[in-house]
Order: sequence, then C-alpha cells, then structure tokens
Amino acid sequence: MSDQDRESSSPDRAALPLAREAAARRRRRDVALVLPLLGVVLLASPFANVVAHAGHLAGIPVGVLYVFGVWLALIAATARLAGRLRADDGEG
Amino acid sequence: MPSWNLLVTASLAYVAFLFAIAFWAERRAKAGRHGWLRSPYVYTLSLSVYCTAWTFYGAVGSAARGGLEFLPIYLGPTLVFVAWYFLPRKLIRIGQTQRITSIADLISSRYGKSGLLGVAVTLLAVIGSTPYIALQLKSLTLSFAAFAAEEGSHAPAMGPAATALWVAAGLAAFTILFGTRNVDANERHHGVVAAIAVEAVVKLMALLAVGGFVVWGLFPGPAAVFAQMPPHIAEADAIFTPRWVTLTFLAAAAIICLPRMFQVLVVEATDERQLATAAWAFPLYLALISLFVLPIAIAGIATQGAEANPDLFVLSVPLAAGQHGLALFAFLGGFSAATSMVIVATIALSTMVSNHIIIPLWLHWGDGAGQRGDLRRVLLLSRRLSIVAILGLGYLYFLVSAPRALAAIGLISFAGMAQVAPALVGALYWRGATRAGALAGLAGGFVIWAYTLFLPSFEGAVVMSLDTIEHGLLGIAALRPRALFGFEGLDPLVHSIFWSMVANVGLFVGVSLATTPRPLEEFQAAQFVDVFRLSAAGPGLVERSAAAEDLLALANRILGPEPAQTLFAREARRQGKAAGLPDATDGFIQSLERELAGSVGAASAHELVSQLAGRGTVSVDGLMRIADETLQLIDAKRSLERQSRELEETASQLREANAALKRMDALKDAFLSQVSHELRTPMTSIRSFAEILGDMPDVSTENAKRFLGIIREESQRLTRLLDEILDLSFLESGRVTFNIAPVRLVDVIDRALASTEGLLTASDIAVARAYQGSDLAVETDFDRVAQVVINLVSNAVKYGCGEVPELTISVGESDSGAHIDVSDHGPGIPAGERDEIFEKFARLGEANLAGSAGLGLPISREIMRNLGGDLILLPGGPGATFRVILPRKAALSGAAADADPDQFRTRAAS
Repeated sequence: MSDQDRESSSPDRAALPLAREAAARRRRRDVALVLPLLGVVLLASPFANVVAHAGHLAGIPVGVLYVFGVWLALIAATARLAGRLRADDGEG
Repeated sequence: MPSWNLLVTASLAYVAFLFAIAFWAERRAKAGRHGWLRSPYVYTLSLSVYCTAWTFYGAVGSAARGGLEFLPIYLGPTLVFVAWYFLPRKLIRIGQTQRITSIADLISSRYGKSGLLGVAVTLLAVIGSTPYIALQLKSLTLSFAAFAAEEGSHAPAMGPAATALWVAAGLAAFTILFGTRNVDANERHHGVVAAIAVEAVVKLMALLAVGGFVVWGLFPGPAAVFAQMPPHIAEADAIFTPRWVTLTFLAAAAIICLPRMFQVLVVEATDERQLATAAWAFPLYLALISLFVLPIAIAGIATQGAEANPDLFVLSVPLAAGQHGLALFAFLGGFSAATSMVIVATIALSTMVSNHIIIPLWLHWGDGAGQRGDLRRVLLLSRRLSIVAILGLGYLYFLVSAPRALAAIGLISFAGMAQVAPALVGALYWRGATRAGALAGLAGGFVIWAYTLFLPSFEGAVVMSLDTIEHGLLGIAALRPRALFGFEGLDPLVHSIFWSMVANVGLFVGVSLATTPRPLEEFQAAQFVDVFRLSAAGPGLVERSAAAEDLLALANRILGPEPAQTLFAREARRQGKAAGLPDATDGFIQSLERELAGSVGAASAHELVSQLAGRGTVSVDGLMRIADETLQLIDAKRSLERQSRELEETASQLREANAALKRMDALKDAFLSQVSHELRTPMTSIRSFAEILGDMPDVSTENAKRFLGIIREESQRLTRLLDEILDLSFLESGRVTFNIAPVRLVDVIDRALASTEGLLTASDIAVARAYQGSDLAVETDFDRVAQVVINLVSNAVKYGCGEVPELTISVGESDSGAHIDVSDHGPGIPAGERDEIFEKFARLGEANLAGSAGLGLPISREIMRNLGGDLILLPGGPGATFRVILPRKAALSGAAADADPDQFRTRAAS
C-alpha cells in the first residue's frame, strides 16, 4: 500500500472527500488486477491439489465443490466490481 | 421413439424459426428500433458461440474419460473475463477506434498495416478452424445417427457423408443470407446475433434439462450420482497437472484469438458497457453449462457401460430412459451449438479471407487500381465464395479425418489459434514489438504446431506418414513429432504447446529486439498500446494530399454512394463549408482510411488510399509525436538546458562588455581630470604673473623681464602638452602617415644622441654605445623612431641617474626584425608599476620634471605599434631596460590619414 493510500485512510479523511474517492477508485482498479491473478492461483496451480482428495461433502467430492465454489465466488466478485468500475469510467 | 421424419421435421422447423428470428431482428434494426438487440445480455449470449457442439457433446465425453479435465476449457475464459478491465476492454476500445474487422486485421494493423501478417494470420485461422468446423459437422451427423441407430426408427439409407453435406449446404445458405447483407464488417449482424442468442438459450436450457433429469429424475439426488462415480474418475491423482495448466492457457488464449470469438467479442460489440455485464454474466453462463456435465457423464457410464460412445451421453441417456421429448430437446440444443459456431466462424473467416487475401490480389492483378467498378460487389462476392470454400474445407476434413474424440479435434484447433496469442498480447502492451518479430513468432509456432500436433492428427493419411510419426522425420529420433528432442512421456498436447510456445515467444521477442520498427509501425504501436491515454487520434504520421473528387469516388466504390455522401458532407460541415466537397486534409484522409478499413481491413484500405494520395512523406511532426513520451521529455529538458546555457553565455558576455565599458569610462574620466589638472598648472602661473604685471605698475624692469620669461615658458609648456595630447589622439585613432624608407639603426641613434646632447652634457651622463660597426637596417619611419629613442634617452636621464651616471644603448637582430635597447643604472621600475608606466599621465613616484606631461611613453608605444613593432620594458635589472622592437619592414597598422607629418617632425626634434 502506498503512502497516499495510508494517508487517505487516516482519521481526518472525511475532510478530503475527493482524495478519498480517488484512492478508492485506485483500490478498485488494483482489486480488478488482483482478482484474475487470484483466480490463476486458486484454479490453475498446485493449490487445487490440496482439496483433490479431501473426500466428500454431502455426497459430492470436495474437489468438485472447490472448483465450482471458487468459480462462483470469482463471478460474484467480478459482478460487484464491474458495476463500480463502469461507474468510475462513466464519471471520468 | 421419435421417428427419423419427426427429427428432420423438428430440425427444419427449428431452422425456419431461426430464419424468422433473424429476419425479424434485421427488420427491427433497420427501422432503428434496436431495443434489446443492444442489451448487454444479448451480447453475453452471443459470446456463448464459444460453447459449441464440443461443449454440448464433447465435454461430457471428456468428463467420462478424465473427470474434471473438461473444466479448464471454461476456467480459462473465466479468468480472461475476470480480467476484463485490462484485456478485453482494451481490445474493444482498439477495435472501435481503429475499425478492426478481424483478428487478422488487428495484427496486421498494429504491425504497420502489414499485408503479409494479415495473410499469415488468415491462413493460420483457416487451417486452425477447419478441424473445428469439421468437428461440428461430425457431431451433427453423430447425433442424427444416434437417433437412427435406435431400434424401431425408420432410418433412410443416408450415410453420414450425405447428412454432413446437407447440413453444410444449409449453413452456407443461412450464413450468406444473414452474414453478408452489408459490406461493413464493422457493423453488427443483427439477424445473426439475434439467432445465436436464441440458440444460446436453447442449448443452455437443453443441457440443464438433461442434467436436471439425470440428477433428480434418474437418480434421487447429486449424492446418489456421485456415489456411482467410476474409479478412474474418483481416484484421479490430482486436479492440477501440466495438462490442466496447458488447457487453461489454451482456452484463455482461444477466447480472444479464435476468429469467431474475436468476431462476437470485439467486432460485434457496440460499447464497453456491454462488457462490464458480460464480465460476470459470461462466466456464469459457462459455470451453468458445466454444472451437469460430470453428473451426465457418471450417469452415462453407470447406465450404458464403458463401451458406449461417451460423446453421445447427452442424447443416449434420455433416449435409453425413454424420454424422447427430452432427447429431441437435447438434439436441438446440440444442433444450436454446432450451427451457431459454424455460422459465426464462417462469417469471421470469410471477412478475413476476402479482406486479406482476395482484395489485395484483386487490387494487385485485377482492375482494382482503376477507378471503375463498385468494390462492394467484389467484396460481397468474395465473402460469399469464401463462405462456401471454408465450409467446403471443413467438409473435406470431416471426410478424411480419423474417427477421433471430439475434444481432441477441438484442442488441435485451439492450439493452432493460440499461436496468435503472443503477437496479440505484444500488440496491446509492448511498444517494442515489431512486424518482423510477429511474423517470425507466428511462423515458428505454426511450423511446430503443424509438425507436432496437426499433421500427426491425420494418423498417416495426409502429408505425414505413420512411419514419420513413429520414428521421426528421416528416421531421426530427435525429430519424432510426439517426442521432440527426446522430450518423452508428455501428453502430446502439452508437448506440442510447450515447444510451439517456446519457439513462438522466443522468436517474437528475440526478433523484435533485433529489428527496428518502421515509422508506421511505431505510430500504430502508440495508437494501440496507449489507446486509453490518447483521447482522440491525432493527425496522421504522413503528410498526404489527394483530390477530394478522387477520394469521393473511392468512398463510393467501397462504402456505397449514400454513406459516402454523408461522410463527405459531415466533413465539409466540420470544415465550415456550406456546400461542396471538403478539403482533403491529412486528418480527413486518415479518418477516411479508417472508415474504409471497416470494410476492407486496414492493410487494403491503406493500399487503396495510398494509390490516390501517395505514400506521403514522413513529417518531422509525425515522428516527434510517435517518439516516446519520455523521449519527448528528455528532448524538452535538453533544449531547456541548451537555452539556459546560451542565456548564461550571453549574460556573461554582456557582463564583460559592461565591465569593459565601465573601465573605459573611468579611464576617460581620469584622463580628463588629468588633462585639466595639467592644463591648469601652467595657466594659473601665466595668469598670476600677468596680473602682477598689470596690477603693479612699479614692478622693476628686471622683474618684469623675468615674469615675462616665466609666462613664455609656461605658454610653451602648455602648447607642448596640447600638441602631445593631439599627437596621442592621432596615433590612437591611426590617422597618421609615415614616411617609410630604408633606415640604418646606427643613424637613428646618432640623430637621437645629437638631439639630446645638451641634456646629457648638463646632467653629466656618459653614453655607452654597444653597437660599434653594426649596419643593421630596416624599413621604417626615420623621424618617428628617432623621436622614440630621444624620449627613452631623456627619460633615462630624468629618472635613471643612479650612482653610475651612464646609460647603455645597444642594437640586436632577431628573426622578425631588429631592436634597440636603452638601459640605465637607476633604481629600476618596481614590478607593480611595469604596466602603469605606459599609461597616460603616469609618473613614477612624485618625481615630475618640467617639460614632461607623462605622455612620452604612451606616445612612443603607440608610434611603435603603428609601425608594426612594439615598445616593451625588459624584465630584470639593475636599472631599467626599454626595448624598441622594429619589424624588418614596417607593417603599417591603421589607415594613413591626412594629418600633417611636419607637425610631428618638429616635435621630434624638441
């Protein structure tokens, strides 16, 4: 986190709505970049092997639940973020 | 059991329904009522052409063979869409600003509108897509056959080849009808998009329906299905394997590189806001369509046994359960998946083939260079022919290809198109990527893909023999297509992707670094890489000019008369013209070229416009613009530094000039005050004696005589002073004439000593003549040099009489001439005053003898300098030694003036 980010989360940030808005916008862009990388780590790396033999949950293999769970979580996060990023671009 | 006739009837009815949807959508769009056609959900559904028959049938087959292995094909695109803000958004923005018509157009346009790259990508796309189209035909015939094989149905004697032919013909008709209605490939094909959106819904619903039936109809719930999981799926070693990563990468590359995906994702996109919705909606679609794949596969193995074809489980499971209605629905779903893919792929490929291969050839050999003919007709015809040719190729591949699993064929296709990925990513993010690098990377990757994956897929039927596949080219083991350089034990796909990507990326990066991009490449690179930073496309790189009439004629041929009129009228209004054609400015030519690129591709449009406007010269402004921003900053900084350095120099010169002026001013003041002081002394004494004589009548005659003598002496001194000042001023301004003649130095000295004899005798000073017998002679002014020597001798008498009352005069010769030295034995000149003695009115110490105004030495030095020589004070002692330097031949400095020389000669004697 950069110095500016830390500044913007200081207690007197209410006095700086524009700076706070800019910082939030930058954070959203950062999250938008981190999300696909997180997806790669969770879905296409040895990470997935941790749950490959974890047995069953309610009769369904945990491996299957894991992949679909991460998948849907990514979709939800993207959906949440996409609306805000679109609004950012609309303003800017 | 649905009869064969029912199946055919249902298919035809469904096709008729699709035609109606397409017609209706086209009508609506033409009337300007786009409404839901532009909705982001329709856009998302159109993206589902990604899910072909391969997904619909093949995914289940893949799951039946390898468990979760079918998933990376959908996870790859999901990851790309999660990164929508960075990759797909940039693609769409570039696609819209540059009027990109296809993936080949994008690559060609980015790398300097290179026609060759366009051809290369087009060929790769056609070769890569042919197996894929064949795959759809195969799945369609398989699904027909699945119904035909069921007992009790009345299957006519129609083989799979004939079925595939009919399907291909029908698809060609639909594609030509709705895919080539207008020339502008950049415009949305509303009918096609509406039809594939409907098909997207049908195939998702069909798969969900079959899945729902399997999980809750056939089995009591998901747990019961997974309990039936066969051991080879349940006991898979690991989810993460090299193959898993390879498949994820391939699918991620495919979602942007496959011609049909590029078509729906970039070309058919109307604005970026659609993407913000598709970013999550499309992955959701993929997740839903994948949801029941594994359960259907498990159910298929459980109910039909291991020997049944798992690629057909989607059909055969409901059929076996007696759910004929559901089976028919599933069949239509598969039909939708296959047809939508073929339609969009052939539209995209036909655009590429016509824009990058046929039109350039026609421009080159046909009458394209002429001004006649409507290019639109050529374009439409070439696209329709391309559609037929591409479907024909697919049909041919279908006939010759070995009976392989659907997934394997699809992956060959993906791996082929993935070779475009490095050049594409480089195009978006790397300014240094060059045309040569992109070509080398593509070629290297393509060759290895063809050698290790594509040709072996025919299993000896085409080009590559079985022997080569087994033992390598020419029997060289290192060249075995499935174990290149001894890389054994790898999955063939992983093996091929590894080697082709190593070659592709290596060549792309290496050659890009080794080559220099042309100016147009650099310009396009900046337009692509910095697309979000450039608010609007600036003026072009080159300065071109053309007649506006010619441009209008060209636009008529490609865009059609009406759009061309609109375009030109708009530009004329923008230029402030009430009527008539607009001026063909650089900016207009560039925007027209971009407009034309929307129809024929960037390379062809550039070629066409260049025929009219010429290649143009690269302007300095243009080069400056394409220069890197950093470079520009450095330039600006350098020029600032240079300017400030120049300013500093000028300022220091001014300071020096100012200081010199001040010094001269001070000198002038000092001179004036000296002169007035020198003049006042004799004047005061003259006035006071004159007053005494006038006021006191009783002055004795003797005194009066004495007073008059003083007055006369002071007057003479005054006159002499004024003469000297005048003399100096003449000398300094160079307005003196000299009488140059051969002069013996001995004569000069004799004359000087004769003139000063009285003074010498009075002071009782002996003269040592150290020049006996010399007959040195130079060309100079006799009188003037004598005047200088007289001055030196009299100075020596006045100031230099020390304990030894003697002065020495000597002569000498040097390379440049001769010199006369006058030395005395006096106290010498202190080091600090050596320069001062040549200044006006400088008197050493307080010694001031009558008759000297302190101008002797300055005048002497001026005389010698005017004669091309000098007068200097030699260092060392004891006493002082002055040296008169004479050149062999007097070089007169300063122009001769009309001053009276006699005036000086008289003074010389004084």
